[in-house]
Amino acid sequence: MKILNLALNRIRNEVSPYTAFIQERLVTWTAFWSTIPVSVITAVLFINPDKSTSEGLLIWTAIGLLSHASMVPFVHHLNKNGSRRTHFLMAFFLGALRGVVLNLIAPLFLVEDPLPIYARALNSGFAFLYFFVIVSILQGVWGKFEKDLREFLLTFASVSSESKLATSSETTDIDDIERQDAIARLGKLLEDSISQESRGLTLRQQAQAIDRVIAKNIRPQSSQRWKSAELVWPQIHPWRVIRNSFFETKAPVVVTVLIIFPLSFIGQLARATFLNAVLLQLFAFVLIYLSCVLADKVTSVSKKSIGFNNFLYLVFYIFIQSPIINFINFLLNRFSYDSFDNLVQVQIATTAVAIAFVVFGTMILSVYNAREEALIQLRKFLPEDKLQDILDAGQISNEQSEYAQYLHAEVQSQLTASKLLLLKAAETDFAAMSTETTRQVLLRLESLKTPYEKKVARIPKVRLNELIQTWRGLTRIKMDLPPELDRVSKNGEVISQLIEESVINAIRHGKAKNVKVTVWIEGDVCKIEVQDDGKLKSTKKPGLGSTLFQVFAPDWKLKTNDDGTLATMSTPF
Amino acid sequence: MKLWYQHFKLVSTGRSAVSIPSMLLYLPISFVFALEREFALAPGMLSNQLKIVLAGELTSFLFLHISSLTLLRNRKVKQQNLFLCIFVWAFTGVIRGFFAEFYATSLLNLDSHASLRILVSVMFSTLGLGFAAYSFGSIYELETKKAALRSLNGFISSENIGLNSEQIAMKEEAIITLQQILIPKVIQLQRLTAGLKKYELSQPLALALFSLEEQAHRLVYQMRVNLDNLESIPNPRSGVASRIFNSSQITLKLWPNVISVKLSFFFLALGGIVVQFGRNTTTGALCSLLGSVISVVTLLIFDRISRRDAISRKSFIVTCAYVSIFLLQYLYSSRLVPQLFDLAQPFDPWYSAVRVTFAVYLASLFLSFLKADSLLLQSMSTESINSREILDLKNSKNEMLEAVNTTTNQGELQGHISGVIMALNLLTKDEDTFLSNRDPSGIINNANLLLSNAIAEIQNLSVKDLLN
Repeated sequence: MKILNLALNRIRNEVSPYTAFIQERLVTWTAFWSTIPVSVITAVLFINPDKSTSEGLLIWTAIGLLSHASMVPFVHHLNKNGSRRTHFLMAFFLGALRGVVLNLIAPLFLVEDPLPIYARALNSGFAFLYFFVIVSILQGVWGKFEKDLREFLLTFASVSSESKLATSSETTDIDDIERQDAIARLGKLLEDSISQESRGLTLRQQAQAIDRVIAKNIRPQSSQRWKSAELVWPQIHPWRVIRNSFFETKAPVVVTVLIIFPLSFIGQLARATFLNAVLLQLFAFVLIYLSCVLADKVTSVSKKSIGFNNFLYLVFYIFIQSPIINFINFLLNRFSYDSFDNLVQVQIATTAVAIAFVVFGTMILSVYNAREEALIQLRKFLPEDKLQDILDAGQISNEQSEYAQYLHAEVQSQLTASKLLLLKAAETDFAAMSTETTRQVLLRLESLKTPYEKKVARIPKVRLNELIQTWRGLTRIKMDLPPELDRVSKNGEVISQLIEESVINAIRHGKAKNVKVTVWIEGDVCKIEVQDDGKLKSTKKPGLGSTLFQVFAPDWKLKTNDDGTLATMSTPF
Repeated sequence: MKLWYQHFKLVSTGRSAVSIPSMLLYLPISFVFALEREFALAPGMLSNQLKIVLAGELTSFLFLHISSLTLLRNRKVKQQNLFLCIFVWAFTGVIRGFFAEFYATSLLNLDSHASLRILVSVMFSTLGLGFAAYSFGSIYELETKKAALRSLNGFISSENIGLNSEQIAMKEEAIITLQQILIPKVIQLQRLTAGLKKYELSQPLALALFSLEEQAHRLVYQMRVNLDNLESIPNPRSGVASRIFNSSQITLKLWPNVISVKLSFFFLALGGIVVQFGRNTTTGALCSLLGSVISVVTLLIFDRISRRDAISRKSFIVTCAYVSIFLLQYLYSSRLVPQLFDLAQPFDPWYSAVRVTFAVYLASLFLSFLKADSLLLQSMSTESINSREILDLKNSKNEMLEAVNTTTNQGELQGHISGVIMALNLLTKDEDTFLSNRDPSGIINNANLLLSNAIAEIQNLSVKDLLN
């Protein structure tokens, strides 16, 4: 019992690095595109009963591709939706769907799937669950690194500006002017990118910028430790990864075999009885375990490297374990195969797949370790508090930038518009806005993710004057407002919002440089005209602005004239 | 009926007209129904029957997906034409039937039943997809409304916090103005009037002075009352939000506590007719209709009982209803159907009873979920209205406080009091010239007038209203 517990704990520990990488969403376009070769290879190598003719190969390639395409509608829907549990279920379901389609369309090509439709569905379901998980792990390796990097970069912006220059021993490495300048430039670049997320550099570009600074300014002058750190930063260098995987990372054979056990067992069931499949799996596992132990012993005794250990295991697997399993398979299930050749072909394909899984596992470990090391090194060479000073300096100038003001004004304007729309919807018991319109407002709110600030000044004239000030420097706004807007009125907020929205639209979409707003009151109706010198631009998708106009000023119109674009509307005063 | 039609049109022609969730609800049921059909039309190997059904289901699914990207691509933005939606639902059935037929006859070389397969598929797909669109549309509508109220509540909470801090600040400002500026001035005024009494005065002048003193007392009193009132204004409560906005997810109770009579009849009658028509033509449809009527009458009785009974016993009554439906259907299928109808492909009585009970369960489950969700929405809506009313009230209170501050700080009140003090100072400044050189009655009368105005103004401040 104790041994079993120990073994289970060991397995858990060894599996956990892989499970930690699994993403929230498995069914993605990346997973779909990257599993196409797998789909075709399995169809051609494992399902195709006649591997000797090129016609068979072509037909099964086509079937593999078409059956893979059947997943498209679901991938389209699930790409950015659904919980992790849903994705796990759907990964299996999509695999099963692929299996069903493969089985169904084979007769259209005048060939036959050797398995019954339900067995194919089950088999394919399990296989694709694995494939999607593998792609997800691969994405996770990169994603975790990106997450860590992002956190690292954001730390600079969040640490207090009172921090002093670092005095730790590591900082002495960067006390020369050239490197300080490089770090200063880098800091400014990163800070700009962080503060202006949409317009700044992407995370990948930021990482590449860091890489350039490291390569040009830090690495050549740094300690030997840094030079020999064998960094994989920030991109995967394929040859380096392969070399590291094979020579410096011990292949996680046992854990990989355990992880793929359900897949290989289901695969076995296609050609063997349950008992025979269990027996074969048991034999295979014992042989693999013994091969590993033997390879470890030989390496340890002969004091050889990890590369030798991996090589030895590969030799044992191909020349000892695989033939033995092939022989046992022959004894147990020879009647399920068309011929002995067919049995050997399937065994070779299975061996190749198993080796591919082990290589894949080793590569993940290798990349992961290298990147962890890379982040540790980066933290040492770019001390947070030193860079923080640079970032703070950038922050101050940035805070004064007009761009930030524009963004803020726009976000707050949109938040106010959303509030007015939701209020209108709730007050009319959702009769004023359709479900889809309400949902669009909610989606817009979700995308803003900024705290709402209630404006203190609610007199329309005061608020609209603020608007003029906000856009000063970019667009000249003239207002011709009636005296009725000098005081708080029942619908003042709506009127101000409609004018704000029209002006912002003219600037953003029409690129207007001059805007003239004319407002007058006729009885109980407030008439608004916004003339600008920009271009009339209509977007296919109606945005928050058009929803606002439709709800509060249903007669709104937008037309071009000699002076540019004229927006007219009226709303109750 | 017209209302129901309008609601159906509203919720079914939006994004849920064709959606993956609605397809996922529809497909398994459609699969089972099609398999039942193929048991009758293509008897023999299960593998073949599965292939025929799957060929139809998968191609129809593909058609639905293509339709969602082409014909109904704008459904997430605006409502679609109802007839277009019905066309898509019906044509899905055509595709479904046609490909099932194609697979059966061309690839598996089985007998052709083209008209039956297509007709039954069209009927089932139109009704099934229509129902799926309606159910998901209704749920989506409720969810959207809840999300909107939740977001609105966020705005209300945010404004509430702002109004609260505004109110506290303005109250403090008003108290400070009264305590530190106005009350000392009025006390100074009282002293001045008291100081004037030491002179020998003519009777009218003494009366005017007495009146002035009295007014000064009244002013002090009024100010103290206002100060007390201001200090008694309770600090605003921190939040207007109710917990209901945080716990707005309805969990699907697997055991519904309501019996859905109308929806069950819809499920049983239409579903039964479609399936039985595929197996036993018109006689089968009639048999199914009669079975549905029997079930609905039973349900109606239990529904009446459950409405009268206590809530605690409802689940027991619902259980009894399911058991009764099951037994009645079993008896109907095993005893009555062979006597009344001559069916070529009758269902096994056990299977028939399970199907009917399951349909009733599904209908009740859906209704129960929808009812619970509607109730939650109603509570959220009421809470939202209350919150908005509270916010309006706070807003008007703040406006009143602002008026108090404006009047006391920049209004005429300070001017009136300062004017009186200045006048009285003028009178008492030079004791020797007090009575000989000037006529004090005019000044005192003017001071009296100013004080009257000040008292009227301070009474108009309506600080008392803020206590409510």
